[in-house]
Amino acid sequence: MNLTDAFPPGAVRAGVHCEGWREAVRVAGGLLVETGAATERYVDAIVGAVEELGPYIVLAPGIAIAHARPEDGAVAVGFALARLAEPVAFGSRSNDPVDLVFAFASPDKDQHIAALSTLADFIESGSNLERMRGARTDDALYDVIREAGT
Amino acid sequence: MIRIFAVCGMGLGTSAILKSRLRTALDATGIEYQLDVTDASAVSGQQADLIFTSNELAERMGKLPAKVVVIDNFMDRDEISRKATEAVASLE
Repeated sequence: MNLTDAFPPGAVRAGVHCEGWREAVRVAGGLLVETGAATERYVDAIVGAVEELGPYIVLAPGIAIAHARPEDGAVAVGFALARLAEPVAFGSRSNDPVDLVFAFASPDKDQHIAALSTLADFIESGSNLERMRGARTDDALYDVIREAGT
Repeated sequence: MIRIFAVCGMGLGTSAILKSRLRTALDATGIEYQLDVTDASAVSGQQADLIFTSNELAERMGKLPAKVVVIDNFMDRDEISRKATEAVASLE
């Protein structure tokens, strides 16, 4: 599974300024909306779920993978990434503060699994994280993902 | 046969990543197990021996008859493998 199939051009943004986790989720989720993977309702659902369940989307130090349920307004399989200029707190005891905010949508419980597991392997590499954090422009950030997939 | 659940907020993000990483670790222990994915609200109704989940969700689940194992970094195969091996050993 190639990550460029999962992240369409335009789904990646570098150096995003955010006031807090809600705004960070809205930016990353907004990229899903812009690229046609989800509706606005989906983004609202992620924010609502974090308010209700706590920071369940913060999976590793500095990293969130924002998502809601397929029926919350997912349209197609799509991934997005907002790299924050300044990290924000999600309230995660083990993994705050967060500066890499991924988001994904999937129309069912299966179609995203291959891409998500490729993404997990990609994130596991410290050198990939370093390169993402060092990327100054949207294009440079997209290149990190594109090169990892080839 | 032990029953194991990977639990996350929605049952389709974290738990899917956790499931594939747990499978590798559990296979290495040689134990017979069944591993399923579920979300935090559904897990209390399940017959489980071991539950793997995050800090915050573990607190929300409250007291359960199963042993609950907290994973901090869901990307870290070493942490998952170490905690899975310890948890399986503690059941025996």
